Amino acid sequence: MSAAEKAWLTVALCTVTTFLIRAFGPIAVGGRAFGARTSRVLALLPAALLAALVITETVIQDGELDVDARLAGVAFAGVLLWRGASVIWVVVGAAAFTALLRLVF
Amino acid sequence: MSTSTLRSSPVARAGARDALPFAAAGFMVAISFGISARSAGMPGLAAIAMSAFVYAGAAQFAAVAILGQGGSVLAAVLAAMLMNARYLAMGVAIGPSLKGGRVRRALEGQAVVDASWALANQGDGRFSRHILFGSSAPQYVTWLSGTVVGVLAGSVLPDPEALGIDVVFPAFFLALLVGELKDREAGAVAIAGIVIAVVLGLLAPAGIGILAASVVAFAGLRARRPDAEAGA
Repeated sequence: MSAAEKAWLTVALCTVTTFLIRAFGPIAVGGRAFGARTSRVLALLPAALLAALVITETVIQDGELDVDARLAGVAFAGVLLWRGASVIWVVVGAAAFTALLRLVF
Repeated sequence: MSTSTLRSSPVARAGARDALPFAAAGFMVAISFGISARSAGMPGLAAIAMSAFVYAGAAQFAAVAILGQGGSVLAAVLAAMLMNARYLAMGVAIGPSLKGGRVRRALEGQAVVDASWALANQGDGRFSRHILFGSSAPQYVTWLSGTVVGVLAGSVLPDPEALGIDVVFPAFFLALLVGELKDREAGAVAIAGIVIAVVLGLLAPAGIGILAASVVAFAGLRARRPDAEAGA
């Protein structure tokens, strides 16, 4: 499968699954909530996934450890977050910082 | 549906007004999504279609990031589904406040994104439909238009890496992650997720480490401790 075909198939499947996930709550339950434990697992999922995505996108390239300017850029994003910057300044600042490092080194 | 609601309801207009900061931020994030999707090798139209039909930022970023790493379609879609799993709980919460039969409620539920759900939450277990629609509409418009701008920009950039575009994904995820670290358990889950993602990221095919990391969320099945409740 070409990269373009993979992309389109992913878009199609994400469209269907996201629709069904959003539809589930409103149609499946008459206001009955999940149990406390299930709710807790659902609430913790983003933290686990996001942490895994951050680290994978920061130090892994083609299945190998690859420490470069990305790590410094993401660390800079962490500093901006710690300073209370909004998400857009975090994203723009991290990209600019990484670009600067690549320009200099 | 949303437009007629907007015209007819002052509540929906108020919701739209309250959503403007989120819509503005979403515009910028959508631009970075469009640029990143292009540099990850995604056709521009596919990225735009994704924003139009999926309309879920974190899931879209996750799926495209995995494809960009060379991961499979299955891994990308599963990661997006897991990222969207929170909408199950949010949909259950908002369900009783929606109107009509099953089909209509399913369609009304499509207006749920993080910010619109939070703005519509009245705090007593009830949700305002009008605020939900009113606040989701401007966010949808800026999410889609921002993606178009990003795709166009990404198509003309000669060297995205020189501009640091490859840190847009991790920086965005980091910002979302910080918002999720509401108590010690979430922090522990995040650290465990990092360890699993790195180890399997080096040993397993692309995308597997990210999916496997989601397993640590099942720590939530443990019996609740009093201090964890207090921290939440």
